[in-house]
Amino acid sequence: MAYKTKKIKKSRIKMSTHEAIWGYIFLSPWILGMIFFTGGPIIASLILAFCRWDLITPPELVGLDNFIKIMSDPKFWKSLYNTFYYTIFAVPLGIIGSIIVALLMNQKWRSVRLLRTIYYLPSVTAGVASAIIWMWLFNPDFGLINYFLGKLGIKGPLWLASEEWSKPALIIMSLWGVGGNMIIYLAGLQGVPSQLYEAAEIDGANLFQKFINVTLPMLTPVIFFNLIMSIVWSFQIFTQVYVMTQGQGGPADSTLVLVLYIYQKAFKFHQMGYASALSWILFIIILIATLIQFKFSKWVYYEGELKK
Amino acid sequence: MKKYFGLILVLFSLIFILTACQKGQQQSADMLRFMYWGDVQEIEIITNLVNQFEKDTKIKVSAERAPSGPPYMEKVLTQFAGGNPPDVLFVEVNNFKKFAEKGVLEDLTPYLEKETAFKKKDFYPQIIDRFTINNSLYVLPRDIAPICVVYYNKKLFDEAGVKYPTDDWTWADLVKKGQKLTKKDANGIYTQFGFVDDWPIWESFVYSNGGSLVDNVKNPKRCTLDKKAAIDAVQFRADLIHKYKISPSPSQMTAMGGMGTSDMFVSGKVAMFYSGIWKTPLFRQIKDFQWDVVMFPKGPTGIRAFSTGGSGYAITKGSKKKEAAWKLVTYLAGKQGQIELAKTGLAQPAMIKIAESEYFLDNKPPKHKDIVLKGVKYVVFAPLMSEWEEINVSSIAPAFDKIWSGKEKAAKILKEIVPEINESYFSK
Repeated sequence: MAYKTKKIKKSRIKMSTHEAIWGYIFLSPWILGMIFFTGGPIIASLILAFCRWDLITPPELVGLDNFIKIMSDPKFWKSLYNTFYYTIFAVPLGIIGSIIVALLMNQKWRSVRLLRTIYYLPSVTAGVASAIIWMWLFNPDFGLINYFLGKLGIKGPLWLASEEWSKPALIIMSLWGVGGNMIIYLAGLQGVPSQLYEAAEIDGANLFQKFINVTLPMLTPVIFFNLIMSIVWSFQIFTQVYVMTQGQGGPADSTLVLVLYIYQKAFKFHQMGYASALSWILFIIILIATLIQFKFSKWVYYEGELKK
Repeated sequence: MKKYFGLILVLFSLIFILTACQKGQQQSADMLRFMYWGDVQEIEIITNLVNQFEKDTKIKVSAERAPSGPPYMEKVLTQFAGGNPPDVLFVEVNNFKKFAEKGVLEDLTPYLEKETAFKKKDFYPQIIDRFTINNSLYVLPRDIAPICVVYYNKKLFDEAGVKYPTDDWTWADLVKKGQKLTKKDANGIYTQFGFVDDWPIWESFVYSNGGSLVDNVKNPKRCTLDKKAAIDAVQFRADLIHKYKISPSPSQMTAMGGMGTSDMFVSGKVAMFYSGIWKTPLFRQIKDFQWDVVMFPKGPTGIRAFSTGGSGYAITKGSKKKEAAWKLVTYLAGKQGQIELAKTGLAQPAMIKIAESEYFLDNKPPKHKDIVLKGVKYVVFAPLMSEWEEINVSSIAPAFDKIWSGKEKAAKILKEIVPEINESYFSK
């Protein structure tokens, strides 16, 4: 008897270490990749941020020079503004959009599996290819979008060729990617225990009340995860803009986002130090944004946690 | 199976790392390394010349090619940064400053003085001068590319009953002819434009109006685009779009559905197309109509001037095989190399005799190809400063977008940005 208890106890300890080991094994491709491929460059860029380097002659230490210059660089502020503009609209719209799609795709329709695949497809399409498709859709004269607007009697804007509409165009395009987040919400939705709905029904809740009081709270961890990831991603928007504006961020800098500006500084004007400093500023901005979200994450409800 | 899954993952990632770390191509230390860019025809020419060089000298060459523009610079600069620069480098009139001012290029003057196959005076003095800084020649020129060529569609001219332009035409003639050659359909949508440039080549308008980009091309101290001549010229290019309506606006270009301006010429959607001679091989494939070329029109006061390109070969200072490198350069930019290039029609040889020979003026269309020879006299190079590209891309292009779209006048924009440019780049 004594022997048996001991064995159970031992295996329990093993269970948790075991899990941890497995966790790290599953993480290993990314951790190793990080150490071997990006670790060096990350450290190098931190040092370079305090240097002037044109790639031809050796780097020269300049202290905080790059950061001081950045603070008075109108292009930096413009690109920061553009990035924030994009994030502020694209992230909430993306979250609302993907929840709606996930709710629809959670119904027990016959062709729902096919529809799920269709909605998910854009997420596995190469960014460059989809950017080119959207350039056609946004074409002011022959594009599908302005064609449908025309049917409704609205004269469509010039989209990517116009300073005012180029950012909204990017935001609309970002909604194309709702399928990727939809999959995560879908998993979240299917994890909501049915007894909660039953209980709500017994209490006489209607569809809307069920959504507000059951579905949404149960989804908050997923929403929280998606919110953080979406903000990180949208701060780093690059491919679409690069393709659709031929690397210019035009017209008139209206789509010059921060990462595109970093790219220009590094690979067009060969100011590696300045570009590294910009990247670290971007990193700090994203870090602060993420910390703020964790700080104000009281709205997130974890199952098993007691409501205070 | 589940048990080993993690192990397999780890193994996979290890294999991944190991294969990635392996060097793709082994280069032996005694190879001469040469970097260039170019299109399919140029690759063939260069490969042949390099093979010939290898056969004659028994020196092995590793010739690496990269797409032109930023990808090329990225590749070359990465090699510099890695402490392993190539021996021979292909450069053009604008990016060469970046290398020259860092002192990484070899002074070619003594090599050229010793050379017996050709002399300095065999080349166009304009391009030699461009590649010379403080009496040191850093690049042996391969070609010069005066951007003075207005290609025109004879069929569209005949249909509209417009006389073909001649070299003594002016901006006013351009507008007059252009208006007769611009057509709209019943819905008011343009079906044909009079004139378009390959990209916004506003510099040529500035030069031929008597304006300038900077006070001194070879040693710029101030941007001078806020002078009246420059402002009027930039405004004139915008007027071609919005006042005279003979050129497509940026949004009309977008509406062409990704069609480039040269595609518009090939498909007969524009009567006159302004660029350099390098479009010739492409346009020689046109079956549907006859075309010819005429020199870029003179400005209102009769001034003739235009922007230019050009390229050549340089040797890096760090090279340990400079004599062999020079030998390779003489193969590439020497007579044989220039003749081969001339035959393609892609570029105008930098050697005067070869440019004037039947290799370049080869009785194939365009009939008046010799305008580029006459044009060399009038070329103006871009400011010789490595930051000019940044000024152009970062400050000028986005501001000019507003002029081309018709939103702002050139005067307002230039008065705004020129002081900023002077402050940020010339205040030292």
